[in-house]
Amino acid sequence: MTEPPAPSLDDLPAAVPARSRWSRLPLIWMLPAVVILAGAFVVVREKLAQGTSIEILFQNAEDLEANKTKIRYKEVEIGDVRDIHVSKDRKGVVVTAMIHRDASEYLVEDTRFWVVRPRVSAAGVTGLGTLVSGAYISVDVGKSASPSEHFVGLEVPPIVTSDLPGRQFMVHADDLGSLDIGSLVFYRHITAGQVVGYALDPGGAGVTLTIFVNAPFDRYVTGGTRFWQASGIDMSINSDGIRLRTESLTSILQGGVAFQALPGSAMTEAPRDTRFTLYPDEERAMRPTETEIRTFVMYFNGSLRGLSPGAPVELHGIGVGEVKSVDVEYDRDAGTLRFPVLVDIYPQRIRGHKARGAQPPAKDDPETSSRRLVDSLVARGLRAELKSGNLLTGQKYVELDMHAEAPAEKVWWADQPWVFPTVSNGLDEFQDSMGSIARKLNKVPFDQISYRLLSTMTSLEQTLKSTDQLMRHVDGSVAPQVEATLTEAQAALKNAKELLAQDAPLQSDLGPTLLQLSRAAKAVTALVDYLERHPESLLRGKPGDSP
Amino acid sequence: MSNPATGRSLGLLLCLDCRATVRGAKAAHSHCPRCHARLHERKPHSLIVTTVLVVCAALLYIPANVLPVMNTRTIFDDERDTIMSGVLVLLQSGSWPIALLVFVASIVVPLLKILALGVLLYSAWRPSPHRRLQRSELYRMVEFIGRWSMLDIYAISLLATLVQVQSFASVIVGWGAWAFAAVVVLTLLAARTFDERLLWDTPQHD
Amino acid sequence: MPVIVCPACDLAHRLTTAPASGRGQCARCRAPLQRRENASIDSAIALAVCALVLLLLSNAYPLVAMQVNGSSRDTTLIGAAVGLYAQGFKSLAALVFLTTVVAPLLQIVSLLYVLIPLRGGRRAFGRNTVLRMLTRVRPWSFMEVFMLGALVALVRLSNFAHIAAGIALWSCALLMLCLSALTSITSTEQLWRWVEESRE
Repeated sequence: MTEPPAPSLDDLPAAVPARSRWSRLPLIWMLPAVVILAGAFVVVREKLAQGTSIEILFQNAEDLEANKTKIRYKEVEIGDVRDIHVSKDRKGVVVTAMIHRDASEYLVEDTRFWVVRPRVSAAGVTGLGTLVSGAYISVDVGKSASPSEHFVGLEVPPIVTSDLPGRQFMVHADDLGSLDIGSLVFYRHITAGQVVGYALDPGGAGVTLTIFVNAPFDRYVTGGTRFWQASGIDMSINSDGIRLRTESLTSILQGGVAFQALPGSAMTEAPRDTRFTLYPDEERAMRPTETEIRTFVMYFNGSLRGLSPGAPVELHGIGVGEVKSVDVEYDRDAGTLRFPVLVDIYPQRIRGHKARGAQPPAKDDPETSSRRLVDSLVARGLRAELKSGNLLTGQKYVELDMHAEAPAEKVWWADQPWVFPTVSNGLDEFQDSMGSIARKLNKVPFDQISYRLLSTMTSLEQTLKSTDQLMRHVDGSVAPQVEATLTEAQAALKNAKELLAQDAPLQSDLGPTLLQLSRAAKAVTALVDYLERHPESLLRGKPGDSP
Repeated sequence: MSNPATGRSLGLLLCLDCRATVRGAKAAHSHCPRCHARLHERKPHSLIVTTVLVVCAALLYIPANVLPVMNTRTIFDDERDTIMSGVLVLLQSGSWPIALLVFVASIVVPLLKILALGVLLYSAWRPSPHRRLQRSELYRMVEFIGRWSMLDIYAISLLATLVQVQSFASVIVGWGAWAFAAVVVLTLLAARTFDERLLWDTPQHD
Repeated sequence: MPVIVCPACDLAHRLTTAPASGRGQCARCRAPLQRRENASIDSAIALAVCALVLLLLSNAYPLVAMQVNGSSRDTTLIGAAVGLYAQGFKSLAALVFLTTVVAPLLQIVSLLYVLIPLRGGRRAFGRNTVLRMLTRVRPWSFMEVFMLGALVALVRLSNFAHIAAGIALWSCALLMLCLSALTSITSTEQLWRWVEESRE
């Protein structure tokens, strides 16, 4: 290795003039660069903060204005309407709105939009504030997880928003009745919710109402809860008389649904969307469910007029069944018409009442035990009887009673349907005829009769007077120029009487007739008088004489 | 003292569009060799046009201050604001610097401009060698401050656009604003058509 | 001998080759004369680009937003003119539109149109016309007046509404600064001087 030669100073490199690419770029260009960067930053940030553009379909754009109408959730602005145009199919308007970025998570499939504007309805006035601030679009955020950007706006505000505590249930009814969206739901006469929707069942066989029960009332909706129509005024006329019931003033106007748990039913809360049945009234709703039903057919001799399905079957006044149907049947062999009355008997009730006694219920199966029960009762003379519950309305019911004297009968369990023995006693028919008499009497216009009677009396008096005048004429012709004073007239009447007395046929006719008439008038007056004071006697007769 | 050498005396023309000095172009239809703009020794019909504009501005100044520039409609009342009452509103609300600004820009400046232009026109019609420097500086002041009168127009336009709360409050522009804007534009035009060289065209005596 | 004439009093001056600070004035009427800014075409272009970006921002975003009983309204720069137009004051709307949108835009765009080719020593088509137009349009660009007007409006509104300044308000303020700087370094004389220089 040789030593490297010492470097000479001449070989040292000179500094090269700095040749930077950047030196050619004046500092002034930093300025637009910074501005452009800042501008781009602002644009990007705004674009991000701008949020989501959504489209809402409404029927019309009433009260909506582009760039003016806001979208609010719980009265907090979350966006605004950017554009409004008629939809392509011209069936509505498409409202394009921009929702703020932080609210874009609200945009899920079941989120609902509606326009808040002043509204007047039976339930009250809402949206008055928008008179001043202008209409806006309100939002009810849905619970779905799938996001959406196209919505169909509601034309009417939803009654319950999804964040309202409570539960929704389905109630099936035969018809809608006087119910509507917004009808109230009552629990023990307290407003507990609202009807939020209804839909005709597929096939059109009924209506399913969607009702929303607010918390805390929703926990009173249990598996054993019954719903019934509490709409308006419930007036029922049955064999018990007239009943008038109403839930509240609002329910008269708007219709309503009431609910209550059956006494003794399980208190487990019903889950959301449980289906219930809507009963027409409270009575039917609260009727205990019969686990055991025996259907019998009964043939009555008397008229079935006034016996309608639903009429009670009573055992000494205790309901043990219900009339299911009343029919006509032609007996081909006998060539006669028969009128089968199909009756549901609930043997459990009889047993239940019996259970109160000392002996414990039989331990065998309910079928045989109920048969044995019926058999033993029929053997001891239990018969069905048609009775009038209410003479005025003519409603009838089936009464089960012991008739020891009745010919022995037996239920033939082998034949379906089972025929329950009946009796038709005279009292029944008598009652019937009494009922019809009373009905006819009821139709007699006593007021008019008494009035007519009165006018008859006056005309009779006038007739008498004219007869008197006639007599006077006659008298005049016999003894002319009799002065017309009252005493003389009376005298003339006496004369006339005397004259009449001589006239035997007239005397004998007129005298008793007048007497009878006056008696009849007295009697009628007394009757009217009595009826006025005791109208019930028309039905029940005078106290003392039992029917 | 002899007359100073002016462009006119030397036969030099100044192109007002590109500030080029053009030599010896006396012809009526000469063009600037640099920017091809029409050349004039003085702005054509400067005095007549400026006078007409100033008179119009002075006439419009009256409705501009009398008519409301802005109607503020609320549910409760309908408030008509002239320029002056607008200033008073600002004063009452406590923002006196802004009130002063608006007062100067909207009332003092247009009035000053009209008066100053009047003085300048008078001295241009009857050129006098006295106080020419002051007049020239007056003209430059007019040119400088003139644009600030537009301030109120912008304020009103923003208010009218912003305050449109449905049926609660709305600001409607009044015809006073139109007249006021016309005053401002006319005085601006007058200042531009006025040729300040006219002030110096008389022989110098001092 | 190069001669320059005072545009304000017609006094003829000798054209000095290099005024020290570039700030001369007329010997008689004290009008600014023969001003030479220490600015390059580059800085003019840079400022013009800034101004263009700011102008676009100012027009794209709301200037101010007002909130009254929960509802808010905002307006853009153009919105002010549109509001006037909507109320039937079309000439007034046109005036506002021209002075706040059109004039600044024309000023910036025409400057860029002329200066960018000029920097490369080329000549833009119709340069003379554009430059003449620029000279005439520039006095009608009222950006700074508009800013002050917006301030007045905000003060008046703040008495009964909540006012929020928008992005455009800030960009407008910057635009105002940018434009005044741009105007001062691109005086008519300076522009033509650049044109002359590029010819040599």
